[in-house]
Amino acid sequence: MSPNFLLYIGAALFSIGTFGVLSCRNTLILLMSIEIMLTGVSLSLVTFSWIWANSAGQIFVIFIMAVAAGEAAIGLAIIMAFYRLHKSVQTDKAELMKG
Amino acid sequence: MNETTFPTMWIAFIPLLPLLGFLLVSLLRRKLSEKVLGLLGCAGPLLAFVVAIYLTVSLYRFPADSVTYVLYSWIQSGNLQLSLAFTLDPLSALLCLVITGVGSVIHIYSIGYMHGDKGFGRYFAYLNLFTSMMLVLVLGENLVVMFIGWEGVGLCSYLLIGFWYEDMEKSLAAQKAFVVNRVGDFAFLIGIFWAFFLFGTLSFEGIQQAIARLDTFYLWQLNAIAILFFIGATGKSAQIPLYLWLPDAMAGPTPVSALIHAATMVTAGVYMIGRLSALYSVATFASSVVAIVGALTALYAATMGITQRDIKKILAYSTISQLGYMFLAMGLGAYTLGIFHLTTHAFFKAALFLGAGAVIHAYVRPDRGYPAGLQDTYKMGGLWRQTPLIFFTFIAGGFSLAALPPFSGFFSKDPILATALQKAQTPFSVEGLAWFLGTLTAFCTVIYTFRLIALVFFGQPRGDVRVEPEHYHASYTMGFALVVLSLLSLFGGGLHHTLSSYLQPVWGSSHHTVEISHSVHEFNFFLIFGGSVIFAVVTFYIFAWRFAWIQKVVRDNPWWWWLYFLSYRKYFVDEVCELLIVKPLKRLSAALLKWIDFFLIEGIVNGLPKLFLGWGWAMRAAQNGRVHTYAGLILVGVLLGLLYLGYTIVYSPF
Repeated sequence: MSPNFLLYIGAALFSIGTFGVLSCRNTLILLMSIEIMLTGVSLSLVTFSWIWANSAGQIFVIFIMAVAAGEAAIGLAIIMAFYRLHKSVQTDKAELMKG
Repeated sequence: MNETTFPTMWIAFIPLLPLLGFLLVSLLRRKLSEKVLGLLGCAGPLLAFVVAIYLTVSLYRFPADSVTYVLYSWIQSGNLQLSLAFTLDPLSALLCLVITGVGSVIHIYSIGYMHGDKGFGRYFAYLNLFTSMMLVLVLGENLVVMFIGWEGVGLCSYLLIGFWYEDMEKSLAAQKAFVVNRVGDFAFLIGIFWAFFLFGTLSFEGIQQAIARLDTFYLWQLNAIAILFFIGATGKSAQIPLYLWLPDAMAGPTPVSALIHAATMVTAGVYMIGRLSALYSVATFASSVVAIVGALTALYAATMGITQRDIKKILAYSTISQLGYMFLAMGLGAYTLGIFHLTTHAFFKAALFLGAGAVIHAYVRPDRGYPAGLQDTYKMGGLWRQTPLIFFTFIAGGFSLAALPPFSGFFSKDPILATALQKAQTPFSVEGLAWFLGTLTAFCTVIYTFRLIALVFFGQPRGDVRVEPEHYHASYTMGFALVVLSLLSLFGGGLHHTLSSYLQPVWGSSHHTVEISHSVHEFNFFLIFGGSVIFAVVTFYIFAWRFAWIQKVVRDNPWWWWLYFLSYRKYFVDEVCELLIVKPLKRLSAALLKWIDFFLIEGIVNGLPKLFLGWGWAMRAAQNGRVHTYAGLILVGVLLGLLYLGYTIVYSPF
């Protein structure tokens, strides 16, 4: 398993996540897509850490996982509140701030 | 008494007490009754008068000639050291006594005069503010503090001329006074700048010392500064060419005309020259200009006063004329005489104006109980039987104005002309010209004074408005004021020698008392006195008993009629000014309004918001509230950023 292969997988995961964020309207799927993006980034970081023999990248990833967990918790809470307000989790309902 | 025991702090109370009165009256004018407001309004000037007497007596006993009280250091910037300070010396002490003394009497008179006016409280507030500002002007230690007072009295003059602001004509008169004064004030301000540039200080004492050190090379600058200050004085003191506002200023209430436009504010220019006597005594050219302009104004205004019909207009022109005398004296270097004439003029002209106000009040509309506002002397007549008190006080003021011997005007005017005659080397010198014009003016003064007295108090009643002596007698305050001022104009002449010795330290070395030789004195006295008596008798006879005849003569003879018409219409100066100055200025303003204001400034002011509005409208499409759009835009932004980063890394010169 070469480092390049791992970087390609990381980029692919990031792109899939981005596509998911841009194309889906369901907030839950949006949240999942963001997690996929974070996974891609984390994988790339770990790989770079391997390439340069520098542990900073791996420490970074641990931080990202902690933040992602927090983010998921808050995100789900927001989605719950959003659902109570709109009886739906579709993003196009969120247009109160429309200019 | 020594240095430590002089009550310097009290100097600040002289202007502060009327200011306190202004604050109290203006804040409480809706809460309190007219009686309380009147008392409150009079309290400030009266207390200031008491303080002024106390300080004058203290100063007289004090070894030093002047005392300065520094409230605080105001501006310190480089060379410029300005402090808010008041100086009490014999000159400012005298002026303080005149302002607070005559001012208090006029305040008391106003209680009766303004009774029942709905602006009663406002009136007293303005009047108190004026008194305070005038005292600041007089007491100022430097030119800038003086200028504060100078502008403050201008403001109060504006407010009080336009006191009955519902009347458009009166509002316009107030505006005219303000605008004309601005012209003079502008020159005054330039004079202050130039004075600072040349002397490096603005305090009067510093200027005096600086002039003593100055090389003769700077003489032309001294003259220029003196002339600039004098232009300021022509505005405030209504001299040629800026006198136009004073006759219109009669639109204000009559006590205002007495206080501001006769006794105090208009004499500010004379006081200023006295205060800067060190400058004017060196700047001889400027002094000659002052003397000539004063003499010309005196004669010019007196000729217009002869034919006016409005009782207050006659007195207004007479005020301009008398101010001309004061400037004549100042220009000739006879500072004591100028200030003395200022003092006596304050007494007798205030008496005359207050008398005129009482006359106006005596004419009451038959059906209603308030004054008819009659000011046309042609509709008055035969008043002396009905209102003897007004008559006798008016006579005292009038004889004093005409400078007949036992009255105060004689003791101040006669020495001015005698000094001019004594100083005249040749007939065509400045002094000779001033004497000639001044003597002609003295005769004109007698003519319009006796014409006024005859028209108002003698002959047959010509008007359709009834006289109500009861109405006049009802207000004791007015009667009291008339008696006090007429007594002052009767006995004020006795102050002459006291004043000249008292004021001597102010002028210092700049004043040279002219010894008037016996022959000059006698010639001058008999010429003017004799001429005055003849003119007085003839004028009085004609206007008291042959009024219809003189009107017919003037109407039938085209020469007389044209002279009369020219003088009655004030030599058409107002019309010429309107045509040459006001109209082009209005047109210029209209053009400026159109191109600068509407086109340029409005264009910028309105154009900028429009620009942003359009930009916002264009950018609005991005703010559609969809999370996806935002996310996509973020992505595009990040990609562009990355591309730029990659580009700089790849093509980096390092």
